[in-house]
Amino acid sequence: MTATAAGTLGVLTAVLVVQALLPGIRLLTVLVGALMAVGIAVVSGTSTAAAIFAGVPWDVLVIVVALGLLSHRVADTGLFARLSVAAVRLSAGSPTRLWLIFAVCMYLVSGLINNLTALLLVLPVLLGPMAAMGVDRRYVASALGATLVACNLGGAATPIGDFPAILLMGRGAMDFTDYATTMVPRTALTLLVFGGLVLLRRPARGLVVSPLSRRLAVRTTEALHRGIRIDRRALFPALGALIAMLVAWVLVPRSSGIGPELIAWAGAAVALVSAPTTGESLLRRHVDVEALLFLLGLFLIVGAVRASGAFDVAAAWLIALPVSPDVQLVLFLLLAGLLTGLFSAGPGMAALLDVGERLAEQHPPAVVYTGLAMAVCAGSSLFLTAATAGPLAQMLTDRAELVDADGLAVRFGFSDYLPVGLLGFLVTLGAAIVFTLASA
Amino acid sequence: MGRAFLGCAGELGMCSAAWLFCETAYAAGGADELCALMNALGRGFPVLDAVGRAVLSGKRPPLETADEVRLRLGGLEEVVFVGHEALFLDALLPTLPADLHVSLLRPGDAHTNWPRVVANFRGRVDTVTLADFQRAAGPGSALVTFTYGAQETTCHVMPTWLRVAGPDVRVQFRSLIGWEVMRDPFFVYPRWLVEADRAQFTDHVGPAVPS
Repeated sequence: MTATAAGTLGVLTAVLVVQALLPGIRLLTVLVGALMAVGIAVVSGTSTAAAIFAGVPWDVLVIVVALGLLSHRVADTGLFARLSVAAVRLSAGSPTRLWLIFAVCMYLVSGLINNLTALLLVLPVLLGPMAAMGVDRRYVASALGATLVACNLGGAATPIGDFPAILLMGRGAMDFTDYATTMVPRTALTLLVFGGLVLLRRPARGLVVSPLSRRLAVRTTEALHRGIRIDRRALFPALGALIAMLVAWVLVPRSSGIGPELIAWAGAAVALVSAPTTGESLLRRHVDVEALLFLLGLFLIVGAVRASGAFDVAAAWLIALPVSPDVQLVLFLLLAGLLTGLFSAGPGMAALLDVGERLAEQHPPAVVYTGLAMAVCAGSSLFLTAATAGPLAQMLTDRAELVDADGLAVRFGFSDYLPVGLLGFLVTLGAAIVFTLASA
Repeated sequence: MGRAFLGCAGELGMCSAAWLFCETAYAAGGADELCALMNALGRGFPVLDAVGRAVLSGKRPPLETADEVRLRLGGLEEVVFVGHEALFLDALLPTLPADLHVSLLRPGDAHTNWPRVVANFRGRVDTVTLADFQRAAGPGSALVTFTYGAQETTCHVMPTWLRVAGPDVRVQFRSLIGWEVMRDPFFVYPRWLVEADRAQFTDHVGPAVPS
């Protein structure tokens, strides 16, 4: 390995570690790391700043922004509040039914829109009935943990659900239909197995939920949302744009020159133009600049590492291991899962996709990419901090100030989530390996 | 259950949440269930205790008083509600003229989901804070607060009202209206609330006060 490769790889590793350990300065860490990595590549003559900037997958960033705006547009219509109230009604105040219904709902929603936006609206509704039921810490850990794992699985189910899948589609690694038809059944089956195992742990064991508590769980939820209606005039254009985007992603071939980023851009434009004032406000206030800069910094670091040839060295090392190609692939998936668990999905996927591309020369590309997406999804579920939805759920739970039957505060922290997260990680990673080996 | 009630009261108002809990308990298990709820929560939440007694004696919330409040707000341009009671505002707001601007004073309570509170009124109300509610002051403006357990000369109000209705503020609004939302005085000590003189209101609207 050359000194440049070692230097850029060192920067990448340091950035991954520091941003995971000090999330309060993660944006600064990534941007300073990007400066250092690009600086090393330029000073060593490995590449130029212009070449590294040209290598940034801007189309992926366009898709991220477009889908984020569309998610906000849908969220503003009151749809999630009404769906959440319907879900609470459907649960009839049963604690077990409540988390099962919300987990399934979040799986479905996360496949289509940004799960952070959805969680921000859905979790306060879910936490309301929990307060009426007098839930305990064990139940909250299982219920919210299962919901977060379901979010991750839903995000991996479609190419627009979460950043790793968007990256695969944006870079042309897989097209929309191939990805979705492979991943929807796999993630759904994984959710089924995971949900079954969580049920076996009996999260509601020990809860004494009286018939009055069950009724109050439903009645209070209804009362707190009594006047909220779905804004159909806003919803129909937003949903129409989303459906049109899905159809276009399936039907329009890349050879036409119309890529997924143009389709996403057009869809978001239609949704925003349908209500210009709100659309302009969304553009000015709700573009997630933090996420954009974070991803840009990561792409720049990865571009510098790529130019140094370090990914080729890593891939060559993996391929040279004295084991069968299938075992090499399994090792790659294990590494992907663990790295994502430690460093979170965005950095994990950005760093690993290049190695995955080398492996895709040895194996059917679709097998490698879908396996990688599942492994990254598994890693996202390992720790509460591995996906951005985790800290959000923690904050909203703290704000709800739940107390158990003994009056003790019910928290949802790192250690509370860990048993469910570990279960989600093992089930999802196991599914990734099984499905990959079965189709390799 | 106490935490659930408090959370609900933060968004619906103490009296409205009490009616919800008491009627649900009565529907679920009759007088026994309601008495059990009152035994569990009544001492901590006196409004719930009083509402529970009202439900047991077959009374309904005094929503008919919304008409009288509407009349007192006639001809005004601005009204600021200090505190909120969803049950009563739901009855009043649809009957108010569209050109009457309605605001809710939002206390510094970090736990109440205010966007959701406001969304339930479907764009009919804005929120103001203690720092800026006086922008609504003027000869066409009124302050309204909800009162609890009124007696001949006194009633109980949310503590925020005392911070709002100081002598300097009183002269800036045409009316200071108290809206009694209970039918009977308290049976247990009214914690969470403070006593106020009914004479401080230019109008005090509500059911007949027991003498």
